[in-house]
Amino acid sequence: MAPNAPAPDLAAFGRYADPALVVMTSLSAGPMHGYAIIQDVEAMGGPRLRPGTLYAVLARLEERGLIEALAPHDRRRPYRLTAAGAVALRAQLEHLRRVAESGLARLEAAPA
Amino acid sequence: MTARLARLVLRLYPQRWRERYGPEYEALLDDHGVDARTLADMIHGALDARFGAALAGSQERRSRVALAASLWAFVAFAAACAGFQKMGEYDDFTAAASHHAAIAAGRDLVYAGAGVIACACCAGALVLAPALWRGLRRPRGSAIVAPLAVAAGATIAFAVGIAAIAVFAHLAAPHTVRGPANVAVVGAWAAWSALCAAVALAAAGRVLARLEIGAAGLHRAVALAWLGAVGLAVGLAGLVLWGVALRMQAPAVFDLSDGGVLSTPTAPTWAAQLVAGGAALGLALAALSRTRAGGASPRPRTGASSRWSPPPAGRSSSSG
Repeated sequence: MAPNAPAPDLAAFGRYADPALVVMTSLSAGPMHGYAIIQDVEAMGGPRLRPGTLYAVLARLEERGLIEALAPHDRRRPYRLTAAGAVALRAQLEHLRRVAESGLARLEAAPA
Repeated sequence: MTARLARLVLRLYPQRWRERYGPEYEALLDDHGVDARTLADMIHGALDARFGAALAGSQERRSRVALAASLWAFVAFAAACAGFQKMGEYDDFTAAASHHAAIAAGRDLVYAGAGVIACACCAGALVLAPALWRGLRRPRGSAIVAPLAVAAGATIAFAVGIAAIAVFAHLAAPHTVRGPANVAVVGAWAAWSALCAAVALAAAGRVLARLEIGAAGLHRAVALAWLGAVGLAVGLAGLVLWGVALRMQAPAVFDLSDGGVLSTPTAPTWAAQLVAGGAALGLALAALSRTRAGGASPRPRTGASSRWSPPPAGRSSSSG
């Protein structure tokens, strides 16, 4: 990906872009249902997701084929990252890493 | 109590959304618990499920939604103009307009704005007519026939209803402006008009969502909707100018306690028209501004619909 290319897919999520990123990051560890995602995101130090936001994100990710639903267990349906989702997540995280590295390098180079 | 409220809020989600996500969402609520912020988040999520997808989908989808929203805005402005026309036809107002150029200019701007909107709508109908014709000629029946019939039926019902109300008004011969007969006539006229307009506009929105419009046709239709929005802005500016000029140059007319519709005071009637016109312009601009490039879905649908549709669930049977 070119250094200045926009991160794929998640830009179309608008205000749900950040929650989508942490949900996908959470699912990169393996399939999880809604409440487990909320707890995992909090454990990662991410924002506190609430049910309305979480399902707005899950519906968007599923519609775009970035995650897929698995068979439910006692009403709780797990979701997992698809191959396309993993590619999109990796690209997004690489993009963020470049931004972070660039910012940190500038801060270190700047006079105190 | 909050759990019961949460179940009620859950009903705000579209039915198809509830069928797809309802059980797991309820399970999540059981695990997560419900407080006031969760309820607010749920309401936001429900609104997003109803309208968010339509406003954040592909550019084609957003264009179709914008066209439908513009239609609602134009009709809302027409309602404001009807009130303005009704108020402005009385002698006090026509005399004020004939003596003060600014008042006349405001009135004429309202008319000019309405004229621009009407022209934009007619031109838009011409642009969409080929797609409509193609849709009607599809051999296996088209998804547009039913909503088109509903829109036509609502328009006919509007005409018949207004005629019936006019006959009633003639028979009742209400001579007192605020008398029960006159209030009933005006109220019935307003309610019937609003009902028919809502049904016709909702059906027209369905037709717009299902028409097979080429990219060029859609682009032209959106451009004409922008023209209509310009007409809205001109009309609203005229409405503001008219009221301000009336207040400054003919304060006695502006302060009339019975100059408005149903002998209501002039100022609140004018303010209500401003609110309706402003809301119409805001709606049109909000919807049309989303038709600009960017934010397109990576997987645009064909035959896009503004309704949320669930993706297939449980594609894999592996446990999580």
